[in-house]
Amino acid sequence: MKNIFKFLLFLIIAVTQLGCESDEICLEDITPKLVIRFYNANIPSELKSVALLKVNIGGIDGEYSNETITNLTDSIAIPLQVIENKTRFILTLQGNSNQGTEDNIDTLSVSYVQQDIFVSRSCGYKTVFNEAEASFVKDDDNWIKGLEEKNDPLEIIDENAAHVKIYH
Amino acid sequence: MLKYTISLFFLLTFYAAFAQLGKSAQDTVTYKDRYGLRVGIDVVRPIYSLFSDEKKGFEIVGDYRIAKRLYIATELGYRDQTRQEDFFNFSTKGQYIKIGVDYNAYKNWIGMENMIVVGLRYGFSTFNQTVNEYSINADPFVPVRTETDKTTYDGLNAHWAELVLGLKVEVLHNVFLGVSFRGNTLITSTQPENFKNLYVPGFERVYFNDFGFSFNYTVSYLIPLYRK
Repeated sequence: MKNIFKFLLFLIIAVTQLGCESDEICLEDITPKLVIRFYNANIPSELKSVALLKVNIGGIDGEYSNETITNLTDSIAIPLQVIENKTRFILTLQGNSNQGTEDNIDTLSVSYVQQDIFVSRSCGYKTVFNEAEASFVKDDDNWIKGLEEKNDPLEIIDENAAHVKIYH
Repeated sequence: MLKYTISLFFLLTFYAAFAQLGKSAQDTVTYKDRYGLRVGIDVVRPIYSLFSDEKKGFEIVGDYRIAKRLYIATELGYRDQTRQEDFFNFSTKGQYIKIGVDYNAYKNWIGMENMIVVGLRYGFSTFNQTVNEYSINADPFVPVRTETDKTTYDGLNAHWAELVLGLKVEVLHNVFLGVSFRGNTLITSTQPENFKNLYVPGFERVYFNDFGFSFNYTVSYLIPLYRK
């Protein structure tokens, strides 16, 4: 009978020390990025990839890069600033010295209102962007020919579909 | 020869019958179990409270024997707990009550009153949650925004069911040491808007599928009321 006591005590200690922390990894969607798709300016229904695109975010040093921005892509996802209610993206179409082209810098501005939403223990809070407006700065030589918001008013709440179409 | 054997048989039968008679006479002295109220406290929580501002609480436990193996049991407690998660920090403050039955699965030797406890509880808690600060979980390339304004969600409550496994051992006359492990499952709770009850007093940490574990180490004193 004493052995039963000992066994039960062992069992209780063992189980209380087990920490099954299966909600420790964040698997839910966090703050959505801005998804841009590139279309052909001449044939608006046709996707057109951009080659050698460089993305910088106003106020942040360094070039933004991730798997969505490769050498040839028709769709990119880039993060929006959460410390302020607007983000300036410097989208550079890099030139090629062999073809005699130079870098072409265009600026895309997005303004929005943020709404913080609780997700889970491991993911914490995300923010979603409501009442968003996107525009690009016109200059003498834009590579961006046109811009279209997918929805009006534009809400950036997930990354399932493009938010902005860029014609070039 | 046969004659003797039969005589011997009769003799033995009488002897056996006599022995039986003597034994049953001894059995009339029966031991009476003590019945009473046992009250105690959780010894771990006050120690936590002394050394940490983030884990404060206490718990009073009690049980009352209603049958040879059955006890009505209750726990009353208070918690003021702060937890740091990856992207936020929150505090939970509130009180709870648990009511249920304990069954003693241990067959004691005469005069002993140890217990292997198998019990069930219904738990109820009223509490508030405060989000002390949080950071927006976004792409690491952009600077982090941290909000430090506290948000308090008042008037929350939770109901749950609890399975108890434990031990109670009489170490001194009328003094018991106890340990128990509890598996909880949340029945209903009022969730705060734009937050979640990640910790409930008495229930402790709420896991992702509304499941939880808790334990206590108790010292209790038996106030014997009568014998039966």
